Amino acid sequence: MERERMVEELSKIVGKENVLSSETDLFLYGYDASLFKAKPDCILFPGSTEEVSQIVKFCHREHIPVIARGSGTNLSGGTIPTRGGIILHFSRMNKILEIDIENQRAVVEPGLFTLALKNQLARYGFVYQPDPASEKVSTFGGNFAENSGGPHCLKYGVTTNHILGAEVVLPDGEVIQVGGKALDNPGYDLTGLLVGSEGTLGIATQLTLRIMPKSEAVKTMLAIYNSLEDAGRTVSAIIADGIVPATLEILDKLTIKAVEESVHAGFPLDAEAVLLIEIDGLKDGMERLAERIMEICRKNNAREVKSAKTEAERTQLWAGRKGAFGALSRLRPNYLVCDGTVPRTKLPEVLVQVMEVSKKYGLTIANVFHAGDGNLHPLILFDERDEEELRKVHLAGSEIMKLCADAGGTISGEHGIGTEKMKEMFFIFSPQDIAAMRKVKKAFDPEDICNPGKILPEVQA
Amino acid sequence: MKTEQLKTLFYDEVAKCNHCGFCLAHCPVYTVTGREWATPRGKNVLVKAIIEGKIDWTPEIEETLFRCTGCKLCTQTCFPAVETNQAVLAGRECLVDRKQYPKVVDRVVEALETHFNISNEPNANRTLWMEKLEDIPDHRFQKEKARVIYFVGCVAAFYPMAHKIPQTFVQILHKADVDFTILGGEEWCCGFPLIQAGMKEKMQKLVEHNQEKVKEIGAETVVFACPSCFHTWKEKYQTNAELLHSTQFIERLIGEGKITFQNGADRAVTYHDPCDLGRNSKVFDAPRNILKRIPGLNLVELEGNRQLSVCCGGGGDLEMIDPALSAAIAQRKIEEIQRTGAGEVVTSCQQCIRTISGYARKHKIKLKVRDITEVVLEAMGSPL
Amino acid sequence: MSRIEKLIPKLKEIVGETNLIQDPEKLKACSVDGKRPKVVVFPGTIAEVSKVVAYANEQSLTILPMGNGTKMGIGTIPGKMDVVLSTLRLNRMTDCDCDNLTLSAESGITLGEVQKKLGQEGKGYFLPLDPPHTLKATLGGIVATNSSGPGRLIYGTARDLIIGIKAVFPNGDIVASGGKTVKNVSGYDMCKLLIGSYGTLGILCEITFKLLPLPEREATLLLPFVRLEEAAQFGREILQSQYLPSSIEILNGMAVKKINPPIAQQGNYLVAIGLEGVAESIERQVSEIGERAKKKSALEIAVLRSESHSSFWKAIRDFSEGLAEEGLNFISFKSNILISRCGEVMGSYEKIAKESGVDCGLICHSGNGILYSYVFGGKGVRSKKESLLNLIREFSLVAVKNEGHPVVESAPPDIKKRIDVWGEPRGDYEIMRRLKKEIDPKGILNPGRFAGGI
Ligand SMILES: Cc1cc2nc3c(=O)[nH]c(=O)nc-3n(C[C@H](O)[C@H](O)[C@H](O)COP(=O)(O)OP(=O)(O)OC[C@H]3O[C@@H](n4cnc5c(N)ncnc54)[C@H](O)[C@@H]3O)c2cc1C
Ligand code: SF4
Ligand code: SF4
Repeated sequence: MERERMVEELSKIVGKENVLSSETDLFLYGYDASLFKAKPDCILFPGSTEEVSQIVKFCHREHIPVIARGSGTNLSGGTIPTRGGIILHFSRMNKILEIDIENQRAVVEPGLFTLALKNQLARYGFVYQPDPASEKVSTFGGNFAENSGGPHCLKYGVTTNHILGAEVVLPDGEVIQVGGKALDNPGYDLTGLLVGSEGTLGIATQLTLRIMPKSEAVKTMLAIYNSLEDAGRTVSAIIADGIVPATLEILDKLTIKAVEESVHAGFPLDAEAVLLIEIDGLKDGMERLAERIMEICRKNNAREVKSAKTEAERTQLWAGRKGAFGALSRLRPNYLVCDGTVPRTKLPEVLVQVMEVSKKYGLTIANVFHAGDGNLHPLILFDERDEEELRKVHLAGSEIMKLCADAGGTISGEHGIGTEKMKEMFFIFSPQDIAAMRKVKKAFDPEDICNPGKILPEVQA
Repeated sequence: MKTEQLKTLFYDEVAKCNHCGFCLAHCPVYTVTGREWATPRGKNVLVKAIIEGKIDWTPEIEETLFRCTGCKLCTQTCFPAVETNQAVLAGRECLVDRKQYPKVVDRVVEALETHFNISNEPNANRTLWMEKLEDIPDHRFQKEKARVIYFVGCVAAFYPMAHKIPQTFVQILHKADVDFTILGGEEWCCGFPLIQAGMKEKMQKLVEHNQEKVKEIGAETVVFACPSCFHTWKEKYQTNAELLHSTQFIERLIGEGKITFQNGADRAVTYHDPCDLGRNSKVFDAPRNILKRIPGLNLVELEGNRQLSVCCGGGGDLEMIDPALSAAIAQRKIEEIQRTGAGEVVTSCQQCIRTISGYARKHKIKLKVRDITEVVLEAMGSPL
Repeated sequence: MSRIEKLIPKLKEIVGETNLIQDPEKLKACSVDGKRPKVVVFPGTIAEVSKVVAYANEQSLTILPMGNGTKMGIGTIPGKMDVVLSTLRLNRMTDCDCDNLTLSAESGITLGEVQKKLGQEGKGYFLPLDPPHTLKATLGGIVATNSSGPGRLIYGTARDLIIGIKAVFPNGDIVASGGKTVKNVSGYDMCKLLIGSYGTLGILCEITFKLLPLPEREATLLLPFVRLEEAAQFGREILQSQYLPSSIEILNGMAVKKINPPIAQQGNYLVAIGLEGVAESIERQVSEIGERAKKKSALEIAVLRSESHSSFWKAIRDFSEGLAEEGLNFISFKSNILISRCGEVMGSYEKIAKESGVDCGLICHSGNGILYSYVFGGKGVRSKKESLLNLIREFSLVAVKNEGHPVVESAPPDIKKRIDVWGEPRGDYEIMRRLKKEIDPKGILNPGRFAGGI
C-alpha cells in the first residue's frame, strides 16, 4: 500500500499527531540495542487497546507487518522491521492501572518502565521481583515479550513466573484476556505461551503482575578470585550444595576494571573475577547460611570474602553490577552480548572455552553474568565501523552459542532469539521441534502479521 | 560548521553511543514526547547518519536538534558518557551554516547585535529593576572600581518576573558590606544564547567586551546569579578574576560572618538544582549549605537531585523555540516537586523560576517558587 | 478388517505382544466416566509412543493418554475412545543431576517414587510439588492436569518448576522444548502450552524439573478459630507479612472433621500454616505466628512436627482419595478466586450448601486463592440432582464474581451430562481451539474432554 494512503487511514485511528512517517523517523525506528537495522513504513503511538485493535485489524486486512516496541533496548533485533511495516511505539500507554496490595497484583500498561512500578511499590513495602539490568528503561511490554531475567531471578524466577495475565490484541485485531488476577484458569496456559513470544503471537495492551512483600532481611557478599574458573567452580559448588541464593553474579577482570573506572563499586582491580552473592528472606539463620556459602567460596580458592556492612555498601556493589554492560561499552563503541545458558555444573569448562574463542579471533571478550542460572553473557567488544572486525564478531558469537548448546545448554537465557539467532536455533532444536512451534505461530497468526521474520527459522520440508 | 568538520570533531563521539537506550529514562524531552527523535540515542544516531551520508539534513533533523535543553542529564547517566549535547550543538552549527534553523533565532541574534541583550531594548534599560528599590546609595551600585562585579544577566535584567533576583542580591551584598558594582548599561549578553543557537562564532565580540570591563574595573571576583552566564564565563571566557555563583559567594559571606540569619519559620522546602549550576558546573553543596543555616527550614530533596536533577524545561533556548514543549517539561517538574510534599521550591536560577512559576501561574497551581537570594535576604531579617 | 482389528496387530508389532490389554474385563478398570477403551497399550520407549501415535493419527483413531488414572474423572465425558495409551512403562529417571538441581524423568513414574529416590541422593533432595494422590499420581498425570498442592504458595506450580518437556505430538513427531537450563527463552515456551493441556496436544514422555534440597526443618501450626472471618483475616495477615510460610490453608469444620487432625477443638475453622526451611527461621515463625494467633483469638495453638506434620499434609492432599475410600458420593469443585476473597467465598459456599441441604467440606490454599469444595450428596444423589445442579450454578456465580473461573473436577456422570464441567466459556477459548486444530487437526488426542470443547 502506498505510504500516503496508509498514513491517512491510520491517522483516522490514532489522530494525525500520533503518526510519524518522515524519512528521518523511519530511520529512527530502524534500530534497537542489537546490531541490526531495517526501515519500517510508519510509526504509530496508540493511546488505547481499542486503537491497537483497530490498527492491527487494518494491518491484517492489508497484510502489513506490525511490530510492537517499548524502549527498543532488546539485544536480539526483536523490534527490527525486517519486512517493513508498522511500528507501534507504546510510549503513550505507560500507566500503572492498579496496585492491588490485598490481592498481591498490579495491572500496568505495556509502555510503563519496569522501575517506575517498583518505585511505586516500594511505598507499600512490596516488590515486583524480576530485575533486568535495564529495568530503569525497559518496558513491561518488552519484559513480557522477551521473558526478561535479572540477578534475582535465580531465586524468584524470570518474568514468566510473575506475569499472571494479559490483555492481548491478536494478529487479527481481536482482543482477548488471558489469565488474570486469579490463578489456574481452565484451558491452555496462553499467558505462559505468550510470555517470551517476542511479539510474534500478539500484542499486549495490559499486563497483570504478581507482586509480593519485600523480604525482611538481605545479605550481600563479595568473593574475590585470582581465577575466573574458580569463581565458576564456586557457583557450581554452591548449587551442588543445595543452596539457592537470591543472586550469584560473576564479573571478570576486564569488567571489574571498566566498572571501577566508571562507578567505583569497590571491586579490587587486581582480581581475575569477583562473585557477587546475595541471600534474602527472614533474618534468622541467615548468618549461618552466609557462613556456609563463604566456606564454599574459600574452599574454591576465593582469596577473600567480605560482606556489605551497610545499605550504602550494598547499593554500591549493585551499582557496579547493573552498570557493567555500560561500563564495558566505554572500552569500545560496540558490544555483542552472547546470551548462552548452560547447566550450572558446566560453568567452569564453558568459561574456559569462551576464552579460547576470544583468543582464536583476537577479540576482546568480557564476562559479566548470571552465574547462578548458568546464564553466560560473554560480551564481545568491537567497533562496528570496522567491517572485518564485525565479521569476526558474528562468527565468534555463533561459535559461543554452539559451545553452550554442546554443553547441554541453550542459545538464549533472557534476551530472546529475534533476528539475531534464528540460524542458531538449529543448534538446539530439531526440525520437528521448530515445526511444532510453527504450528503455534500459525494458530495465532496464519497471515504472519505480527513481528514477522523473528525467532523461527525456515524448515526444509 | 560544515558536515566534514562535524565528522572530524564528532564521529568518534557519536559512535560511542551503542543504542542501549538507558537515556530514555532520563531525557526530559523524551519523557514528555515519547518519540525516538527526542532521545539522546536518536540524536546521536542522526548525527552519525549525517556524517556517514546515510541521511540528509531533513526538516525533522532540524526540529530534533533544536529540541534539547542542554541539561546533559543524558551524559551524566550514559555509561560511555556520550556528549550528546555537544554533538547537538555542533549539529546546530551545521544547520546554521546551511541557513536551516528556526526563524525565532534571527530575532535574538538581531537583538544581540544591535542592543547586546536578548530583549531588543536599549541596553540602558538593564537597570530598570532598580526603580522599585528604596534607600539605595547614590552610586546606584555602579562604581568605577570595585573588588567584585555582580554580572546580572539579560533575563534577570529585562524580565519583570525575575527582577526580584537582582533586587535582593544587591541588598544582600550591600548589607554584607561587599565592595561591588554592576555593569549597568555596559553589561553585554554573555553569549550563551548564541552558543545554543549554533552561532558561537558570533559571541566573540560580546566576550571581549565583558572581559575588558572586568579589567577596567579591576575586579578580583565576578559573581553571577544566573547559572548559564556563570557556566558560559567559565567555559568560554579568559579572565584572571575569580568566577563565582551567587550561592558560592553567599556561602563565603556566611563563613566570614558577614551574613547571619535571624528570621525563619518552620517549613519544608525542596531545592531544584539548575542544570547549568549543578550538573554542568558542579555546584551542589553551596545552596544546600546555605539553606541548612536558615532557622526552621527543613530541606526535602527531590527524587532527582544533585547530579540527577531533571531540567525545568527552560534550558537551551527551548522556551524560545518550542514553548509548548518547554511547558510540558515544566509540568513534570512541578509534579516531581509536589511529590515531595513541600509547598515551596527554592532554586538558584532566574530561568528555572520563570519556567516553573510561569507554568504554575498559568495553570493556577499553588506553589511558592523562590530564588535562593530571596530566601536569604528574608532570613537576614530585611523586608523586600 | 475394521480399523480396530487392524490396530491390534500393528500395536503388538510396535510394543510387543505382552504390552497390551484387550481383555474386556480388564479394560473395564480403565474406563472413564463409564466408557471403556478398545485397547490399552503400554509403550516402553518414547520412540514406541511416537509410532503408536503416528499410526493412530494415520488411521484417525483416538488416544487417551493415562498414567495411574487418578485424575481421569476430570473433564467432559469422553466421546470416542479407541486407545488408552498408558505411560506406566515409561518409568525411568533419565537424568538425575542433583548437582545442577535438575531432574529429568519419564512421565509414567510416580511422584512418590521420585521423591523417595531423591531423598536418598546425596544430602537429600525433592521435587517441590505436592499434588493430590501422593503415592499414585504419575509425573505425566500431574503435569498434564497442572495438579498442585498446598506447597505451591512458596514453591509455585508446574509452570514454575518445569524447564523441559519431551512430548509426542499428534503427528507422531517427538518434540523437545526447553532443556536442562533453569533459564531459557529460545523459541516459544512450549512447556507452558503442554502443562495443564490434559493430553490434548501431545503425550508427555519426559519432563525436566528444577529440584531443591530437602528443607532443614519442617513444622505446622494448627490454629482453630470460631468464626470464618477471623480465620480468613488471620490467613491474610500472615500472607501480607514478611514471614515465609510454605502454605496457608483454611479448612471449614466439615473438612477438619474428615481429616481429624490432632487438636482439641474440632469442628471449627482451621488455619493450617506449613513451615519449611532453615531451622532458626522455622522456630521463630512457630513462636511468633503462634503468638499473633493467640492475640487474634485462636482457640488453641497446636504445633505439629515430623510424623504428625507429614501425615497432616498428606491427609490434606489426599482428601478426595479419603472420601472415595469412605465410599462417599461427592462432587468436587475447584474455584480459583482473588486471594483476598477466600473467606467470603467460603462463607457463601457454606451458605449455599446449607440451603441445598448438603454437607460441604472446604479446603482453601488461601495464599493462592484456590478453593476446593467437596459436596457430599449423601445417598440420594439422584433425587437431589436438581438442587445439586443449582448448587453448582451458584458456586460458579460466586467464583466468577471474584474473578475466578471454577471447574467441576468430579461428579457422577448423571450430573456431568447436564453441565459444562469447565464452566462458562472464556474469551480465549477460540484461540485455544485454533491451537488444537493446528496441532491436532484430526482431533485424535483426548478429543472433546477439555475446556472449550477441545
Ligand atoms: C545494557 C542492557 C542491559 C540489559 N540487561 C538485561 C538483563 O539483565 N536481563 C534481560 O532479560 N534483558 C536485558 N536487556 C535486554 C532488554 O532490556 C530486555 O529485553 C527488555 O525487556 C526489553 O524491553 P524494551 O521495552 O526495550 O523492549 P523492546 O526492545 O522495545 O522490544 C522487545 C520485544 O518486545 C516486543 N514488544 C514490545 N512491546 C510489546 C507489547 N506490548 N506486546 C508484545 N510485544 C511487545 C517487541 O516487538 C520486541 O520483540 C538489556 C539490554 C541492555 C541494552
Ligand atoms: S546516548 Fe548513552 S545512554 Fe543513550 S543510547 Fe547512547 S550509549 Fe546508551
Ligand atoms: S541534554 Fe538533556 S534534553 Fe538534551 S538530549 Fe540530553 S537529556 Fe535530552
